[in-house]
Amino acid sequence: MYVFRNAFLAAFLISVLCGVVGSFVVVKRISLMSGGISHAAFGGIGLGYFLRISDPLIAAIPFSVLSAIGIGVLSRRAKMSEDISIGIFWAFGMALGILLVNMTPGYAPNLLGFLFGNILLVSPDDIIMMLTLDIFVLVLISLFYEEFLAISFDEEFAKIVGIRADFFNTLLLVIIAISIIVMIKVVGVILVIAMLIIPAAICKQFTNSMKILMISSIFASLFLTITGLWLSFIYNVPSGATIVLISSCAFFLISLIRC
Amino acid sequence: MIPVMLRDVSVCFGAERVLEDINLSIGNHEFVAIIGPNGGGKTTLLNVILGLVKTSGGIVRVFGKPPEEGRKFVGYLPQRPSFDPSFPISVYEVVLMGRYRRWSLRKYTEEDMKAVENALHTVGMIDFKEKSIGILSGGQIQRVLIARALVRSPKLLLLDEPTASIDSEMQIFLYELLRKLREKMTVVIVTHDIGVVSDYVDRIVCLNRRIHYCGPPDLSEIARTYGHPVKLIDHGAHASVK
Repeated sequence: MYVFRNAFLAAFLISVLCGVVGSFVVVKRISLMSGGISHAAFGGIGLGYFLRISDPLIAAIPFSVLSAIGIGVLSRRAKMSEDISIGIFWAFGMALGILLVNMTPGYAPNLLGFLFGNILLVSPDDIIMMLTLDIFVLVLISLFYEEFLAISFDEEFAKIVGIRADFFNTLLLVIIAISIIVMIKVVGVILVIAMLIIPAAICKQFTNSMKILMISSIFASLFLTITGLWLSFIYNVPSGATIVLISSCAFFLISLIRC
Repeated sequence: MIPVMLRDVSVCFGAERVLEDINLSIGNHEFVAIIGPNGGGKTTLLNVILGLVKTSGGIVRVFGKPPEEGRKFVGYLPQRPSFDPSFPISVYEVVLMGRYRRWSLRKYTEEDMKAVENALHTVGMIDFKEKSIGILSGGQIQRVLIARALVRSPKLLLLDEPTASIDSEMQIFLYELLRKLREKMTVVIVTHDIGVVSDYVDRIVCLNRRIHYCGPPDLSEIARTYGHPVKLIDHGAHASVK
């Protein structure tokens, strides 16, 4: 039961971010960029193993934040299309992670957990870290909600009314990077992007208000995560993959009905 | 303070000169139309005034200040809406964004909300304030974006081809609206409707990399200065000369 209590807490903590941050990812159409940031995070996890930090995710936090800033700056400054720098960061992080894990002597425990997630392995320490990062993200978003809304809706106009669009774009990427760290334990580096976009992508079809989108996506995410968790428990299959499959199917189904 | 002052301004994109030797002053409550062929630098000129494009030479002053500072007095209607029509946002919220102020703890005050209602009244869109931006027609979106520009109580209003995507009835509505607005502010419009616009504006600026004509909307005079009368009217489908 103790395991389940942590799992439910984890489901709640990631759902809050799926709803709030995922809504921005969906309306700002930066899901590919978010995918790049999540895969780059694996480089940080590899670094954590290499440095023998007891929780490699701790090392992944600064690493992901820096890669988010890197992806943001590079895609803005470089004289090439954005998807190129995203694709390169994507592979760079994975390659670095694999190399660092390989160079670390001994067995790398939980490596699969970081790649594909396991909600049942979330520890009380993980919950504390997730809660701290959740609060951090929520404070940033509520402080700068108007700015984030403006740069997501119409960047050019945001600049004209005096919003430093480059700064807030980068800050939003940093927030996404931190949200991804929170979600990695549950769904893993490879699947995390699904949870960041699916709940908001489902709910966006039913609302024309950003705030309602955020709140409804939190509930959608909570429902999908717990349903997936329950099914994975009954059939004894990996939880991260089950949650993502359930969510994807829900998205396909609802989109089909709506069109 | 004079709203717009450009002295010897030039702009290059890479090796290409887009604007050259631009000297232009626009006074208070003036209504000015900028015309010229596509690619002639009309939008770039507006972006120079807004401080969104770096000049490669010359001086730009907007109300006596550099454009980045002067643009707080400027309302702007872009040529194409640069947003996603499926964005979950209401007409009211879009216009409210025009009242954004940096570093204000209570983001929007009652005064801001009143200003939004007034702006929506002015453009005749108050009945749509709770509607989602995605269900509006091109002309309605245009009006909402004008409200978003007006809600900042600008002293200078820049409009980039506001009539390009709307029907002729809306065009008349728009020009009549601008005729009223110019009593309160300076209006600069980029347009192809030379025939219509000459009934309303004080001055026409013909722009094709350089300013080829700048003066009263006297069509024969413009045609002569421009060299080729055909060139003048051959901008696009909307252009016409009475």
